[in-house]
Amino acid sequence: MKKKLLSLPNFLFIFLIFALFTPNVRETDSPIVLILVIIGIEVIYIAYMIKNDVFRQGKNIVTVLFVLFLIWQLATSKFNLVNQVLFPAPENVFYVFVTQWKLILTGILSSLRLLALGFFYSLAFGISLGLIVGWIPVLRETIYPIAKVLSPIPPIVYTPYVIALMPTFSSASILVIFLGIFWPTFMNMINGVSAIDKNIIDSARSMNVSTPTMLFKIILPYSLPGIMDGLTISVSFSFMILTAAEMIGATSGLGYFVQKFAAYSDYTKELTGIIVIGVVVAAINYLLRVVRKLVIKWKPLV
Amino acid sequence: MSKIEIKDLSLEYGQEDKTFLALDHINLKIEEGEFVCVLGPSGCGKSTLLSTLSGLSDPPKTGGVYIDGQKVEGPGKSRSVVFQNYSLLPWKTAANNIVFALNQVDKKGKKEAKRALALQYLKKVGLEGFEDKLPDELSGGMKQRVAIARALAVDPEIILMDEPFGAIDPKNRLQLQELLLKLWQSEKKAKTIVFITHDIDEAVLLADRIVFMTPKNVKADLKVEFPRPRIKEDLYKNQDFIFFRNHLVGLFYANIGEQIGGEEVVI
Repeated sequence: MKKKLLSLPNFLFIFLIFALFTPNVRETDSPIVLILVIIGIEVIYIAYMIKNDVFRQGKNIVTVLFVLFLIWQLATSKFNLVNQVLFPAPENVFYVFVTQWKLILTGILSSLRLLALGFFYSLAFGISLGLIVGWIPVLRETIYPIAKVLSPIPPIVYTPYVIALMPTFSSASILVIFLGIFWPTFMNMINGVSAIDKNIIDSARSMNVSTPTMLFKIILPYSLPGIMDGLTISVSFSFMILTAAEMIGATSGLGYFVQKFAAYSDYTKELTGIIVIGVVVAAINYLLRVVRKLVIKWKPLV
Repeated sequence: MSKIEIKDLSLEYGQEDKTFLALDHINLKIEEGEFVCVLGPSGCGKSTLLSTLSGLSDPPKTGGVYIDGQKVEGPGKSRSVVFQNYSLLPWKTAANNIVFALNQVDKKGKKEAKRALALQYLKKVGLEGFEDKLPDELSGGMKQRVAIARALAVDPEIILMDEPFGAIDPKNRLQLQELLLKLWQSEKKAKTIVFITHDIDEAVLLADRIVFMTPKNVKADLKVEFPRPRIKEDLYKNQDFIFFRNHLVGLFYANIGEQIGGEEVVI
């Protein structure tokens, strides 16, 4: 335990906190939020350290994080080595959470709402249509080649057109996310249906199952792990599309937040927005992993 | 009327220009309650024959399969199949795999009653206490036990078995063979079983009748007269068994000789 406590991240932590309480060359906002964030990381690190015997990975990650914070802080507020406008101090970037918390929170909620709706529609349509098209040979032969041409078009190129086309920005964003997620889900589903284990299909057919049972009780659960794995990629991807769309035409949301302050060259707030987006995407991905673990307990038979 | 009647059955695989004849004008009758083993070397079409019985194959080129005089057009409730490879649904527990099969036969029945029936059949195959295990958590032999329980639980008239013990180690295989015979004999009304195998000893131990297949056709149809219950060790000491077994081995080799003379060589 003693050896664990004497590890590099803990020294860096003490050094960081110490640095934050010593006078700066550059004038900054209150460092309180930054201090809370650093303490937060340290607390998670210590909790993790107590729980796990092997923590090399966690140790290295925290070390890198703290070193980055330290360099950032030393280069900006402490010694003012870089341009003030382009490289804001970490104290200021994190203090934006205090001054702009309302805008950030509504931004997150608005972005998440659009994301959830776009996701819901594209998954519902992508999975069910993919199942049906994949299962019925005539449909697969006809639609798959067409979809193969349409699916690689980057959804971002639709964005200006869709924003002009749809009555509200929300519906436009949902449609853009839909276009981004629908195609990969649909194509994966068609491929999944034709690649499904023949033993399972024969076994189900020999039990004389109806077509809906075959699609939704055999093929769908069988494909679920693949769908869940695809979701992680899709989430990051659709968040990219959404924030891009928000930067073009929205009046709320995280993309809007970033775009709004970039227009005034307020890079402090823009950096805050970028950090928030990173944290939100990471949190969604983490959540998806937890859900996958809870929902899928089985392994395919070899 | 025979339970199963195969009349002038031919089956082709493949597309229009590249076809392969798998079964060539086969005729065969199987009576109710009979345990028939279809024996033959790999690639002789025995599994294809079974798939025409189960209704999973393409429509035949000529003739057809008749069950109780009705032509087979697809899978049906009267038949259940046990495959060689694990065919359990990997996301369902042992009991739920059986319940799923029961649901396909009886859409209305109560859930509790179906689960009770599933547990009863799991107990019959010696898997009491394993009902809530996922297939992944069961050994190969156990998975086939569940598959047998599932096939029996739906109370079919005919059970079709496609090399069900082919991938099981010898010790477990003998146990499963004995279990299958016990279950078959304990049914009030004996079920008709068609069992595909390439294992001569397995066929002799299990069957009332052995149908020996050469590529595309039936070469011999032999009654197995040894009294039941058959004990493997006792059979091995029996002169008649040794004679009968040698005859079957001879059929296997005669077959290879013919193939070397012909177009196909299978070793």
